[in-house]
Parts: sequence; C-alpha cells; structure tokens
Amino acid sequence: MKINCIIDTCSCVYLSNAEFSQKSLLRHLNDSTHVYYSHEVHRELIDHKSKGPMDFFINKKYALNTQKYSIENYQKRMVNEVLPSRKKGGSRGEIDNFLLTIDLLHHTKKGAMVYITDDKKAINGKIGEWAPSFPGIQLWTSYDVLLFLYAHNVIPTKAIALDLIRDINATVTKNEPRSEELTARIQKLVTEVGNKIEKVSRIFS
Amino acid sequence: MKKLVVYLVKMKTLSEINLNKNPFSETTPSREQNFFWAGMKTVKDRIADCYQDAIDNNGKQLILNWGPYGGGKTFSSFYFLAEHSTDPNLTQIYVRSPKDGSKATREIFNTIIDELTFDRISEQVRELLNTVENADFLKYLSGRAGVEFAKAIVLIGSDDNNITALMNRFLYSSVTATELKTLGLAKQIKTDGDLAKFLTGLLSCFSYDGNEQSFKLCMWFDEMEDLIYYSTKHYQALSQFLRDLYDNIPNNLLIFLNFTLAEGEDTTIELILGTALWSRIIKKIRFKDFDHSDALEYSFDLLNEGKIDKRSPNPMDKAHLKKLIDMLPLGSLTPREINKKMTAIIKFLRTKDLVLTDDQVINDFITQQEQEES
Repeated sequence: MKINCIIDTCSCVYLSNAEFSQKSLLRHLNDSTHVYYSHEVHRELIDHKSKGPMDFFINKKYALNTQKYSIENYQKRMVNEVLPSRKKGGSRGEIDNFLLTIDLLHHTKKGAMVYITDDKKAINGKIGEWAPSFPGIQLWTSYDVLLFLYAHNVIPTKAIALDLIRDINATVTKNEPRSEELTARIQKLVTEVGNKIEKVSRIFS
Repeated sequence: MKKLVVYLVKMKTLSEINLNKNPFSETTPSREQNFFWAGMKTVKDRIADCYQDAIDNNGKQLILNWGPYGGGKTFSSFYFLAEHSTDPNLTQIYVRSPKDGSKATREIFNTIIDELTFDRISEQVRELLNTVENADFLKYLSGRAGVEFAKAIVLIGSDDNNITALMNRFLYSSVTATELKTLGLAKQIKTDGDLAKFLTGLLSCFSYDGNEQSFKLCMWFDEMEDLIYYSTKHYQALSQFLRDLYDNIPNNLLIFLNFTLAEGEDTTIELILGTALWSRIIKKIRFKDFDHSDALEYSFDLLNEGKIDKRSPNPMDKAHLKKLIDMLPLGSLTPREINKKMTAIIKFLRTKDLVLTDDQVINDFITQQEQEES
C-alpha cells in the first residue's frame, strides 16, 4: 500500500532539481507514493513553476479539499484568523498543508500521512509547535524523501543516493549567502544523511 | 549655545607597551604580509617534509590539510608560498575554490594562468624549446595535452610578438577562425575536457624532468569545503578536471588541498570530496583543535615576535598569558579566536594607560568581555 504525502512548495522545487535516470526525485516520489497538496500550495506552485521542472505536478488533481471543516474554519481553530492567500512571507501554504494532513489522517482516515517541508521557518514555528500534538503525522524534509526512495529501492545504489545529496544541497543553498555557519550546517547535514544512507545500505544491499 | 567638550583620553602607543606591531592579526592573512609561524610545530614540520620530498625527489604528492575554521590552513599556504618564493626551479600556484560551481573549471584555469602570468609561461616554454630537442618536446607535450594543444603550447614560446599576442587571447577567451588558421591550429579551448588537457600540458612545462633539468610544481587549492555547494553535475566536472591534472602530470608535482571541517571526522571529507579524489590522497595533515598548552605555545611565540625588547615582560609575561589562555573555553582556541582575544586585551591595556598585564587587568578585561557579550 502506498503512503500519502502532503508536500510544500519549497520541497517541490528542491526535489524537482535533483534527478537520476532522467527523472526528478519529485517524479520518483510521485510514482512511489500518493502526493497531494492544499489549494494554496497549488497557487504557490503556479507562481514558482520557473524554479524547477515540475509542470507535470502543477495540476488541480493533486490539490485536495479538507472534509470535516472548510480550510478557513480550520485556520480559525489553529491560528484564530483566516489567513490571506499568496501573501509574501506569509505562512498560509504550510498551514493549509498541515490542516489538510490532519484532516486526511484523522477524519478521512486515509492511512499513513507524511508532511513534507524544508521550510525552517515552518518547522521551527507554527508547524513545529502543533505537529507533536498529532503523532500520527510524519515530518519529512527533502533529505528524508531521498532516504525513503533509497530504502524503497527506487534509487538503486548508495553512490547515486550520495550524489543526490549534492543536488539537494545545491538547490537548498542556492539563494543563501555563503558563510562559515552555512557551510558548517550543511556539512553536519551531509554527515547525518550520509550515515543514514549507510544504515539503509547495510540492511538492503 | 552648547559647548562641545572633547576629553583627550590618554592611551599608550604600541611601542610604549613594548610592541613594534600587534602580532595577532585579526583578519585572514594576505599574501603580501611578512609571515611568522607560531606554535603548531607538527603541522609545520609535516608540510615542510612534503616540500623537501618534492624538492629532493621527482614523485607526485596529493596532500589533504584539514581542520576547523580559523585553524591556520590559509595562513600555512601563504607562509610556505612565501618561504619558497625564491626557489628558481619551484613554481607555486595558489587557487581558491570557486564559489560558483557552474564555471568552476574555467575559473580555476584562469586563476592558474593569472598566477603564472603569460610572460612567465612564455619564458618557461622558450627555455624548454632552447634546451630540449623540439621534436622530443612536442612529443612530451602531445602525450599530456594532445597534438593540437601541444602545438598551441609551443606557440606560446614563440619569439614573434604577433603570435604571442594571439596566444594570450587564445588562453583567456578565443580567437577568430581566421586567427586560428594563421596560428596553424585546429581547435580552441572550449570544453572542461579541453581546459584540463591544455592545462595538463602547460603545467607539465613547469614539472619537466629531463635533460639535466628538473622543474618542480606545487599547487595549493584552498577552501575545498565549498564543493559542498556544487550540484552533482558541477562537482563531477571539477572532480574530473582535478583528477585529469593529477593523473596526467607525470612527476615533480605537489598538490595541497585545504579543507575546513567544522566538526566531526574525516569521513565527511570523503563524502564531500568524493571517493575518486579521496583515494588519491597520500597524506592527511590535521590542523587539530588546540588544547590550552597548544594555545599558550602559539600565543607566546607570537607575542614574543612582536616585542621590541624580548627580555622585558611587557606587555604580558608568560604566567599571565597562561592565566588568560586558561580562562578561554576550549572551543575558542583556534588561532583566529586567540588572535581576536589577544588583540582585544592589547587594546584594553593601552586604553587603561598601562604597560604590563597583571591579575587585576585580566580580571577587569574578562569582566568587560562578559559584559559586552551579554
């Protein structure tokens, strides 16, 4: 049975810029799981479609509605207000995605749900604050998608998995000014993901 | 009307506290300064051994220098570049890893040409043309750069100014089809593969061994940790470029790769550099994190270097230097952090109009630092 993923705009951009076998990780993820997003993220993807080869994925069929309450009703319950759409620096995309994940998991009872985001502001902010209350939801970053696809034997070798870390790093850091702190943070991340890839390799290779 | 009252605060000059300069340079060293090596004796000896081996023998060495930020790797490059700058048979090149992976190979190529200078390249080729049988020289170059680029390298040594002017442009950008025909060349330098081949041939002139001549080549590649920002495509291009250089220059070659690892073990470096480069490294020199005794040795050597009267305890004797160093947390014991702290206490001493550091100065200084940091 395929798992369900609710994906954020920035993760779509990152995963669409890392590829092997002429297919992006986003496409591989879409082939291996059920991937959806909220209507707000759909609108964001249209705005950001030039940032990666993800045209195939910008389609209304992936945008789901919540069932128990409307998304605006859910927003009021979570942040006490209805959030504006496509506001620069706003957080509606990540919050709508989160509410959709909760709705699908606990109301529609769709099965295992994964919430994918690389947005540190979200992870360290509202989402990080609310996610522990819903332990059924798995929080992933693009690096976790890489690990999942490797463990799932979609990525066939450890060498390819290690190479793909570079592609994700290159996109993740593309707009960040180079600094010792950034290099140190990415080095730490590479070590951690490398160690995890090694563990997957020990089990399955 | 308000009056502006200016208080003149008395402050000691550096010479009044027995220093001819502040020896604790705060910034990353520049290549123009005078270098003094302090502490870190093992690292210095190990790098010096690599140089000695390169000078005494005609082998190849790929060395990895690794350690924390501010640990002295760039300083080491500049120190040894200066130390061996007058050796007539040793050519040294310093390259900083490009930040933008998409043009990395071209940027490295241009940096190397800039470092060598066109005139120096021309002179070197001319010297080899004068001392080596021309057919043999062309054969030597063809084995490394291919026949077409071998011909181009030979043309750089031409006595004809018109040809050398064209070849200068050939290196940096491109020449027109007509100019290419005038030169008698069939191809320009276009792809990453071309850049590597041409450069291999060119650098082989600076590592030539034969006819009673033995030229040595030493290259420093700094900030290799920036490869972490390269996509796979750009990483592979640069990695292949470096491997081609290393594998195809037959001898008399010494390469240092400087790599900053913020924390953790060298397995992370293998991940970032990639197995192909990693497996070619023959020696790893670790710029280890200082303990308090390393930090004392380093700062004592430097302070002494800056003193006008070496016998005088001013501005700080060893006991008080030790007391200050012992108060620094282990994580702050890189040369860069020590330099910052020592620069700050020298300034503190001067603004207090004092010449010698005692317990009271250290306590007041630490209190002031804590207040500034809180």
